[in-house]
Amino acid sequence: MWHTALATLVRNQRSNLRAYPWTFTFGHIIDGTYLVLVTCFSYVYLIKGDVQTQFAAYAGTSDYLTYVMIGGALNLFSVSMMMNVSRALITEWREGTLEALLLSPSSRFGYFAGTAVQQLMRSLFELAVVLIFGIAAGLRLPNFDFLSVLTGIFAYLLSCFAMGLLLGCVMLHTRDTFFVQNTLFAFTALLCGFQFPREYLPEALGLAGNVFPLTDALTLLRGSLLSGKAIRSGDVLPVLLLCAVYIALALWTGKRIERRIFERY
Amino acid sequence: MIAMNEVSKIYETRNRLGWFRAERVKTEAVKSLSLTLEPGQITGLLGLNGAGKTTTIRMLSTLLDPTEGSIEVDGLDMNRSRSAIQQKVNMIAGGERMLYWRLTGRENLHYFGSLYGLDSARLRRESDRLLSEVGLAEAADRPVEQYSKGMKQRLQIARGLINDPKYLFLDEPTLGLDAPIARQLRGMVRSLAKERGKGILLTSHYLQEVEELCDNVYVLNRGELLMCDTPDRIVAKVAGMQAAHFELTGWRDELNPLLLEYLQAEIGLNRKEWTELHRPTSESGSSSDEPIRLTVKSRSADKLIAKLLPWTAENGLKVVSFSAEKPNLEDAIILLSEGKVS
Repeated sequence: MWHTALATLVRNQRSNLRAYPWTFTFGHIIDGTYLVLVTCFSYVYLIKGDVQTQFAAYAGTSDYLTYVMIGGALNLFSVSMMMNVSRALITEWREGTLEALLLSPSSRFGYFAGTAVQQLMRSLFELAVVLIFGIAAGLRLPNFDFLSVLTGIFAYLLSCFAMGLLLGCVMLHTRDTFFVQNTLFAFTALLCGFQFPREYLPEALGLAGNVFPLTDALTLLRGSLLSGKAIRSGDVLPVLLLCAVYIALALWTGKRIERRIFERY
Repeated sequence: MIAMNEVSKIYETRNRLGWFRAERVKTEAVKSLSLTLEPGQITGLLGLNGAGKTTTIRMLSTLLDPTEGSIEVDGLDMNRSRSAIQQKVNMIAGGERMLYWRLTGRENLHYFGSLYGLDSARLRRESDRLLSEVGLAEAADRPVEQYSKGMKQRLQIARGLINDPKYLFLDEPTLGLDAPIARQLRGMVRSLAKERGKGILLTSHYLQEVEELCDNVYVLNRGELLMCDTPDRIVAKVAGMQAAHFELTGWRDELNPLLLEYLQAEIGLNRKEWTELHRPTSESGSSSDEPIRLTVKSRSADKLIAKLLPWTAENGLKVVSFSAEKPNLEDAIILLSEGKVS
């Protein structure tokens, strides 16, 4: 598995550097910076810093600016991670390399892990740059809990990976990327609580958000970042279990879809 | 040995009939096909478009599951030992697919080798050897997108050999290649089988290529096996005998029985082939100065000519001209696919 993971990581890194030397990363950073600026301008000029007390009760912090910036940046990060993992196999299919990949006895999990780690390196860099802009615009993390943040980051990454795997299966089955990915991202943006506390949503939609491991992982990570809330094993366990279900389901269905990918006559 | 036993493949597709309605359509791409492939042997798989060649190759290379029947590779069942079989086989397709264009030739081989679990020392050694074998040593560090079509095809061959497979499936390997490069590839394929003992299954639309390379040929039509034999025998069975034509002067009627006797003794023409013998005729009767035309049908016109030339000299005949008429595999395949042969 590690052989495949490492080889895929190196391959993707080389391909990306040759295909998009720096413009792709720059584009993502611009997106993030735009998000920071919009948040900052709406906070300062539109709502003039006046945040409802209900927000603080729901969000666990009255620092609206930091809450939205962290949420927005993590949304961009998750989209970028999920998109890369999920599109890996269908891109191979479109570029005519899937046959060669499936002919080999390589580990599929290793392949996706390599893809995810390579994307992680790029996305982390983009996230770091956006957060630096955020700090300049007023993002503050005074109650930072390091261990909890690490646990939250792990849960968040695992959620992105697990959801990306399952999304990839749907893409490969439907042979579509655009509609499938954008539908999912529209739902996660609405239901996971990136830009506002989920308590504002109608109850049914709030419950629907629990289908995604990203929802709880985001709550844990943002809580540990903003209020220094400690993450206990009982908090992270549901996320891990949901991720395990997603990964198991993705690997199981993925195998079956792979067996049928060349069946279209 | 690879043994494909009574394998069928049915594709099920959905045809849309409107926004919400669709019908399921079943297409039987391969029908109860049995096939064997021995190490060191080049086997051809022929048929017109839609005959089931690519489906067969994809099933043998583990990409598709048969709907019915079983496939065994060196005694390993494909359903139970897929990974072990994947180590033993590889596939090379014609065209420019199955390569990462942004990577260099060497990086491609390193990547694919890693997928087969080759360690870094072996990866370096094997990729250097293969790149040099396919004549890409100098272009090894250039991105594949800068390669010509022939170079990409040669890199594909190197990719197909990176795991040192015991069995290799070639699906139209010379598609769209220039004649010299195609010839070079044919030489490589021959040496892989004859010198390195690899079992090769080849599909090609260039029937001359199949005739030249294959020890054995399976002819498919609409997924069904029509015939399996050596290329020569298929041509002989389907398209008839080869013919040797002679224009001779000095022919005498008494030579008729002598010729028949000689042909029977030297060439071993059987009764059926005798009936194919075109007896010499002369427009002006028995004049020995006028050239007459002698046509003899046989499995091998070349051998026949080589045997008959000394005989004509011994019997005082002058050969004005001679030629060989050979139906080829293409004629045979067309006749078979048109159903003109039972």
